[in-house]
Amino acid sequence: MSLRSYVISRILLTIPMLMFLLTLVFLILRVMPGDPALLHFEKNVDPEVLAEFKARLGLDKPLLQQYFDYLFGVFRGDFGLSMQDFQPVTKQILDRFPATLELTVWAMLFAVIIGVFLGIVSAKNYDTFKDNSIRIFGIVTYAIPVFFLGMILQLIFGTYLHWLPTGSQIDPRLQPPRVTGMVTIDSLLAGNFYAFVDAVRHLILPAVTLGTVLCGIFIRLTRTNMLETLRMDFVVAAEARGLSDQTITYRYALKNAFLPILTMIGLQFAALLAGAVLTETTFSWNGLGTYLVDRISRRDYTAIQGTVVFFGLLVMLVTLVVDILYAYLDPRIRL
Amino acid sequence: MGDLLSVRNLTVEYRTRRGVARALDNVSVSLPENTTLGLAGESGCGKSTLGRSIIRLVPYPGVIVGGEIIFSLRNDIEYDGQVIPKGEVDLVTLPEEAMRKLRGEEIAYIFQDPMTSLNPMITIADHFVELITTHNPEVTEEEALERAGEILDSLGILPERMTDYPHQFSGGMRQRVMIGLGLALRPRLLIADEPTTSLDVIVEAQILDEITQLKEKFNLTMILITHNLGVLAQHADNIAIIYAGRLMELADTETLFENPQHPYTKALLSAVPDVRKPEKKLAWIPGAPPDLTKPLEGCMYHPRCPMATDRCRVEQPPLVKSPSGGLVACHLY
Amino acid sequence: MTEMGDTLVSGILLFLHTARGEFRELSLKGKLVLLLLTLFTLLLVGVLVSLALTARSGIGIHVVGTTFALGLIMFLIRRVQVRLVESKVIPRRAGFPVFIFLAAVICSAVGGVASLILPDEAAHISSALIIGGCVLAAMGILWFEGYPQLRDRGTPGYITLAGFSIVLAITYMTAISRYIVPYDPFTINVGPLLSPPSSDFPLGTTQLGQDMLSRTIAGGAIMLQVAVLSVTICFSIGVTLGLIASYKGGVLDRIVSLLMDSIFAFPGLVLAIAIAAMLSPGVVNMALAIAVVYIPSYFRVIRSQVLTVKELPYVEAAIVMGARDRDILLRYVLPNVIPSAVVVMSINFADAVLTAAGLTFIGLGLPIDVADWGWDLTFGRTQLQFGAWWVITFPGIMIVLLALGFTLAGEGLNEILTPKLRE
Repeated sequence: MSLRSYVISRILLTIPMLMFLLTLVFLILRVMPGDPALLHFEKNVDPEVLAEFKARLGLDKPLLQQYFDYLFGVFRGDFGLSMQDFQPVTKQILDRFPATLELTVWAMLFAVIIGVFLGIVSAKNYDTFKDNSIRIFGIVTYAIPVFFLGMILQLIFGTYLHWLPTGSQIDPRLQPPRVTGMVTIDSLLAGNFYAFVDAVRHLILPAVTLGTVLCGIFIRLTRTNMLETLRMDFVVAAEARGLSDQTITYRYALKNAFLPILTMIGLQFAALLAGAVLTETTFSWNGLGTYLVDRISRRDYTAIQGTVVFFGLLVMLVTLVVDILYAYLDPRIRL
Repeated sequence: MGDLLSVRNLTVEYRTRRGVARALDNVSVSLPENTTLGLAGESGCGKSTLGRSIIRLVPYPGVIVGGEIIFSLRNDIEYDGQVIPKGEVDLVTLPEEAMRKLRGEEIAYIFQDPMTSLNPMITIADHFVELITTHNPEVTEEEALERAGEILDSLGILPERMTDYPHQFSGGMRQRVMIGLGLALRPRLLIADEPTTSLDVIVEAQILDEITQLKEKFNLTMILITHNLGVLAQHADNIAIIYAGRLMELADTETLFENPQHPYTKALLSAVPDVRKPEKKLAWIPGAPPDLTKPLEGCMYHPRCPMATDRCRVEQPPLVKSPSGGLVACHLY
Repeated sequence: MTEMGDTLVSGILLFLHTARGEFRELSLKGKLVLLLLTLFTLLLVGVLVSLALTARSGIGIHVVGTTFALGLIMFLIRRVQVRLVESKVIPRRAGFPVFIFLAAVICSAVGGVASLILPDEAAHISSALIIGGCVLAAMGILWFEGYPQLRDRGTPGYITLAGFSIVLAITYMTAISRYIVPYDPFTINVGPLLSPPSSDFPLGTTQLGQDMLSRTIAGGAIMLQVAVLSVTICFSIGVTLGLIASYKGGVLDRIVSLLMDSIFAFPGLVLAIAIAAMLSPGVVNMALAIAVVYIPSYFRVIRSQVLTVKELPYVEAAIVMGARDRDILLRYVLPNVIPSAVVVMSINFADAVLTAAGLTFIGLGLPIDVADWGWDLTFGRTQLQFGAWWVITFPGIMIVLLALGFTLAGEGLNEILTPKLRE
């Protein structure tokens, strides 16, 4: 089928999935606990106060109406008001999101680069010590809880060696004026070199932590793909023509692996966000993850709902983009 | 005219989990210049391994464990700042970088399956440009493209099709592209590994004829690997019969067909249908090819040989001159 | 009776003889590995015994001894059962059920006796003994029966073996933890506050003066329970849904697939957080939260397998011959689907452990007064700035080992059950 019809059908498919997702979140966070407002006060509240509270947040309306308000709200980008401070949740989410974006992008970059590189080395040294150690490395990094790794790195590089800072995004004294919310970019925009360097120094440990835990899957993907491709006839034929090792690895073998790697980035995005929540908590990184955890401890259920929906939407968007990109790049679909 | 290639006592092993399989056991053949040597035998007998050993691309887990492959170079090889002077070199011990230079320039290899031998992600033109610029970095892309056009033209492929992808060509055309790539740099030795096995009979005949013409035109020396004796009858000057990694018989084509010496050769020939004798009964060889992880002390063929004696069981027959003028490894001689 | 005895003795002799022959065949590397493994096992057993002897409960060594005896008995029952099946005394299909029955009988007996001896501890002591014994028996059976089979498969076989061994070892330690810990894991001030590893406290103490060694030994209980529970729920629902929906096809399949895809699209931890945040803390609720997240994984794998198998000729033939859907599913489709499901299960276990740790780290899902590796990491976090590395390192390593064990088992099984690269 042509690219156009594929894109259209893919987008159309997203709509029911979106509905399912939103309904699911609504069921879990609004319907299941019974009365979230009551839960917020831990059942210890004056009925009048409770009534006023619910009215303010729109929680006194019939459930079905709440459901539709919720759906329309999402489409408008309105996630309701926080139970904590009655501020619009959307604004709070957008405030904290750029920090998470910064962390996750760098972490994914790290994971992919390291993962692909190690995967190539592994494949080209098939069944040797190098290969097996890299494979073990990949398996072990998957089994380490991301926060444990983070703490160990903090211990080594922060507390013992004093090389890198162990928390937050930047030294508060160097904080640049907020433009995008991403401290590294804001520093560059403000022309403040020292701030930039400091921001990068703060970024290194969290990004490496999150990236390391995710790189295992890229190592394995690249390795499997390379091994398969390197054994194929056209690779041996290329070798028989005397093409260089470099050409063969990159132009022949890796090119074949490129699309699966792209797809995997999309698939891993969900895991990336999950890991980000834990990483942010470990490193006191002021992003959406710490926001979520904070709101949980305060039983701010409207904020929790908004954040969860936001995460879900994000994953869906990324998956959609990756699918379309894949269709565009795969010559078999394109031609 | 001397020998272009001389394989001496070549032994190749495949080291697998189940054991070590001897794919080639002390094989020696010589290849005079401008001749075509046919390598024939059953599947898995080692003929492909021999071809791959010469170009030193034995697939994992295969290893060359002994012997020499003497190749006579016409030019010096320069690589990494080192020079290997022209003359005779042992391909087994040649450094990989030097070997890489040889591949494509001096020795070319054509694979069996044209459907999978080309990179599906790049155009035909790219294949040629890559090849030419890798071996001659001074050549510009335009020059390389021109050259590619010429070659394709001589193969009967329209130059406009140069920018197409491999999957847009038919099997026969793809094989021609492979041949074009193989001969683009004017190598001296061409190894064709079952070049027509996956093509239909008519295309097969065309391709083989074209290869033979090219051989004449460019003064090539060729090794033709196939299990199809009929093909060798038409296109080979000398034929080597390989069984279970060992050379059984070597003779010029006419002699081999008229006066076969080795029992295995005779059995093979009687299994080939003859158009002139439609009533001829097709014979088959009882038994199965041996397990190469357990090489026999004596002759590898003796379990299936109608003429086997006690001596065949314990003593491996050496390669000796046969009454017909070729070489044979059998205790009968 | 004497016949059985004879069979037993000759069996042992034959085993020793083969073992000796195999030992000779091992390469130098193999012998070295075997030596290291033996030393390592002896070391572990030594540590176990010394812990048991100095345990707070006073009956540590008794518990250890009983579990080993129980394990040995069950192992021997298994050996006898196998022999009986081989010599056709019992039919093949009845072999395994007979073993399970006898094992259950002996376990209940031991449990009952123990409950009588220690009525206050009835539940704890019987579960410790039974689980401990079963794990040891499983370990024995794994090495005895599994090793030859797995060894033939090469490296993946060893990996599977290693993975399972790690998991079994940790389970054993957790099962009898109550009786081998030197101090109560939760009692504060048993030692100096926040002191590094010393001879009194080999793994140090927490900031509340709790013994880290005890906490590390006992901390896996919750995690294992949550893992087992969530995987059981997940497996049952996921496989059943997968089988039914994809076999029936049509609208049902579409809807369920869509639902599964929506759940699958979610960041796992986030969904688990959402659910756990809504439920009160506890093992069951945490298990539920985790289970929901992983149901789609089973569903997808089962579905792709079922779709493949559905098209196979012998399934069509069965349908043509009038077989009922239920029969086809159970007898034809299910056996084909089980290998993939098993692989997903082991990865599921690993993920469940990690997600449980993650949830605990955030503060969800568990009451505070339980010794748990996840809690140790949460509480220990604040002590890092003082350089107190021991509060998080040991529990963390245990979590890694447990997750690693499951992952290795899954990796190995994956290569064994679905071989890809050939030589």
